[in-house]
Amino acid sequence: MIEFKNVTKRFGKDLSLDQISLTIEEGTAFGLLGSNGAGKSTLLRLLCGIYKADDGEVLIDEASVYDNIQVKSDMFFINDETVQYQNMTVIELKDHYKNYYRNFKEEVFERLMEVTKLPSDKKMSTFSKGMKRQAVFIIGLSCGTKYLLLDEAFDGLDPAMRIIVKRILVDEMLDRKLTLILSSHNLKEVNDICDHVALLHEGRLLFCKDLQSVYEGFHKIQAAFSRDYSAEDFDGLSIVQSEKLGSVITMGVRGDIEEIKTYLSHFHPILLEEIPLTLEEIFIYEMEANGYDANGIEH
Amino acid sequence: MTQTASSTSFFGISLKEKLKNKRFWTILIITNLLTGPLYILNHYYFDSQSSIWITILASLVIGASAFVIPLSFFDYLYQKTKIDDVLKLPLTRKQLFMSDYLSGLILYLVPIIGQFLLSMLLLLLRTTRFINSILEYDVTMDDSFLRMLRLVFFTYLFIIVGLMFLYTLTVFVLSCVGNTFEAITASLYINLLIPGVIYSVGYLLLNRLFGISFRTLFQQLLYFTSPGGILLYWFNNLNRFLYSGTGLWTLFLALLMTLGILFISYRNFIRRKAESVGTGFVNRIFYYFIMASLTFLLAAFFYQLDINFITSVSLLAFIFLTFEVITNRGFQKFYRSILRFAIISAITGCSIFLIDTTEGFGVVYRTTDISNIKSVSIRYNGVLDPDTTAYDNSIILKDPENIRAVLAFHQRVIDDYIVSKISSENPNMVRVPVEATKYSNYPDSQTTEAIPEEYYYVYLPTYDIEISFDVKNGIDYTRFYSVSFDQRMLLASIDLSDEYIDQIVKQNSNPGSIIVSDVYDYSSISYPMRKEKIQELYHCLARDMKKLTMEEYLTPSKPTRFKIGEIPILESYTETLAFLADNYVNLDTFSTKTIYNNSVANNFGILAPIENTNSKPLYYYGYYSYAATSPMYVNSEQIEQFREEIITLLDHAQYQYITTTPCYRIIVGKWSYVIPPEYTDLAEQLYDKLR
Repeated sequence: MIEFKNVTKRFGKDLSLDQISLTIEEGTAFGLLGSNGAGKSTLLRLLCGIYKADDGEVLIDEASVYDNIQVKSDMFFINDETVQYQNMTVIELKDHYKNYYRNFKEEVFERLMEVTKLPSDKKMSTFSKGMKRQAVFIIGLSCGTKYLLLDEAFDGLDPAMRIIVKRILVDEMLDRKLTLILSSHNLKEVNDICDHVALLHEGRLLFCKDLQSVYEGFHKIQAAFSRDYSAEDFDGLSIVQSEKLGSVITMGVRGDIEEIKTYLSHFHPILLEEIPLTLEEIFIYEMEANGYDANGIEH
Repeated sequence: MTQTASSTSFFGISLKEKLKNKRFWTILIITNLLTGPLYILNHYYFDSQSSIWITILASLVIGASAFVIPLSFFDYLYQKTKIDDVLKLPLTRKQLFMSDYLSGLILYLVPIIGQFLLSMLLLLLRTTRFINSILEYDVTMDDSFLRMLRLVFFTYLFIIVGLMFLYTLTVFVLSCVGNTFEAITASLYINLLIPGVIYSVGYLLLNRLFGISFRTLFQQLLYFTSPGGILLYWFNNLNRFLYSGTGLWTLFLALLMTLGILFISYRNFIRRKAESVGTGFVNRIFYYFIMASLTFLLAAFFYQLDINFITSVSLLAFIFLTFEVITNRGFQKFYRSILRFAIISAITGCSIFLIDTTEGFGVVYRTTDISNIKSVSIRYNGVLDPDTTAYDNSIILKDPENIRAVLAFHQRVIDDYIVSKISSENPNMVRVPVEATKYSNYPDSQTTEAIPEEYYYVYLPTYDIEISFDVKNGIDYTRFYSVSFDQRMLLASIDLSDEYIDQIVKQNSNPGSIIVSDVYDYSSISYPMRKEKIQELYHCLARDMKKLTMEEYLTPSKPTRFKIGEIPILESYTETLAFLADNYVNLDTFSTKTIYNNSVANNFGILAPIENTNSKPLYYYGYYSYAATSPMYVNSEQIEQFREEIITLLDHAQYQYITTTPCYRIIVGKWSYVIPPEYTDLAEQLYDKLR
């Protein structure tokens, strides 16, 4: 189990993470969401012992991760860089990591190489970005660690390869209870893989819960009224975001759907319906509620 | 299940990883073969120097590798793309540092040790009968070859320690910086700044202080505090000093420095944050150390050159602020750079001003009471030998009488300095009336200045002397003075003390043989002798010297003609002379006629006495006293013409003689010899004839 206890991380005067506390259970797929500079990568680097927290503790199975070989042996971190492997072949990369990770699984490596059909004897400088990323994925999965940390790791993969990689990840989670922690701007990816998500904004944790309860606590309501109401008139609701187009108001609202509907029925709506929410919309609503300019969010 | 890398295997893994760059290691091995082994092959097998440039270039490449290897092995400290991949590995920071440091060092040194072994093997093979039969000339395992082997061994020892130092210093720099530009530039200029600052503090500032010696205080510091210093020591001491106690001590201190720097590098490495990558100087103290050192070095240099204040400050500001702009990548918060410059230059200026005006905080006048002195060591070879710095060995004095003499001498030197500061008169100058110099000759003068009509000033030579005080309470200290002969004479009583004689005799004893040399032409003959016999000789010599009176020592009744080692043998050394006669040492070669035939023909001159008017004692002495500016030289015809007179003067000329009574001296070869006052008539007659 991973625990962040009041973790603070500063870079000079800039606060990157501000008293973050969260728990990640073993065997879960945990998605980290947040705008650029929210602190997702910092959190992952703290988790694999690259960074040291200025305050608070990062514990893996109740042991501090920083400078702890045992704990670090259970972690594999894949970031969004691949240039460091330019002068290596995949086999050389495998040999390099195999030296450090004693649970390295040759059979997994062979199987994934076969699936991806990557050339094993060519320098990675000749690879495309997607091929390099595949190679790193193969190594990360072959290391056989309990925790796999992915920082924007799907970037550069083509759709077919994304599906393959996702399938492999899910298989690994089912086979050996791999805990997956991934940060991504691609909310669809998180939606597809993760069962828990956390949303970070400007170093603060906005929420951390299982994906189902994220959807359950958030609703997108479309309503039209005979009178000219605006969202401000519904002060009994916890409206995160609203948009009025003609007489139709679309609102992101927190709370129980039945209570929301009952409340709005008092305003005699001509149209009142709940429309399906995407994770992306929840993300945008939450971010806007916290003062983020939605126009600046990457999709 | 938790998996761990074996705690003992991380080093092996690192070594294996680093070895993967086969191209680089191959080049390094070939480069190593092109240095020592190639030089030895060419020099000792083919008697050729043709490959010397290849050897020099290859050596430079090996030296540069001490930068390149750490820059490559610790690249994650200044390359953002690599830091995650290295720090995520299941290694502690300590393991990571030690494995990268040691694997780099081992891979760097193994080829050098290999070339050392190969060089030694090639040298040893050169003495084999087989190789000698093939090649043109024979090399045998004689004393000189063994000395050379020892020199090669110690040269390699110095090179290995120096390169270890350079490698470690580069690692230290890398632990303090966070990007490629600073990693390369700081690695280069830290190597210049360390000796530069030591030199500027020592030579430019403290060496200006009276009695404070750069050599004793700072030169030694220079030798072991930087890789360049080790190279300098090696270069300056390509002789027995390389493997003397001083050489080994220098090596030991350099190793200690290396370990110290390694420890600081390790601390920096452990403490530095991963996110520091990309910042110029991760360790700001290191940056300020560099900037303060640079400012101090330049300020001291400008001060020495007497560049005026405004120009100095402007130049310093320009250099300092340029560095700041480069380091800060622009002009942001430039007022801070100006403030920093103001603070650093104020500290530098105040330091220089304080050192200069307080004369090293009064350290120049430091003396110690005899009750607080354990011993005094003095680089001194007797009052007659002014060239004290030519000897590596010091005489250690513990006899209270001797210490008292040294303290009196020291006090006199300081008192004279104080007087000279107040008065405008140079203490080493005598004022000579024009009429007194009727023969236009001045004793030992280096320069003369004419004063209108009445006087000449004659500057007397000074002699270097170095004294180290070993004190009971407090810090030991060393002083280095250039003193007049008059001041030196205060030490004369030491020359006849038992402890001085015992040490000077021991220092002059030569194992395996005795060396007898001529005091005129300095030609020497070596007489091989058993160790016991040599010891017996030196016992005789010590006993004879201890019997001497001060009068006989300073003004011997009969001239000496030869020395054993560096010790002149007087006629009164009866035991020594008897020993030499018993052991078939031929002393006939030192006759006056031989001197005339061998030495006089080359150069002969006469120096007339003069009188001075400012009542300072003027000493007339022979031995190492250099020739005056205008002695009366004799041409070859005159040498033949006045043969008898010259031989008569040679009969009485004294090599070891000191008097204040005005007397003539003769010059033979490049040394002068005193004609005692009782033979002044003889010298004057010849002098007048020559005029």
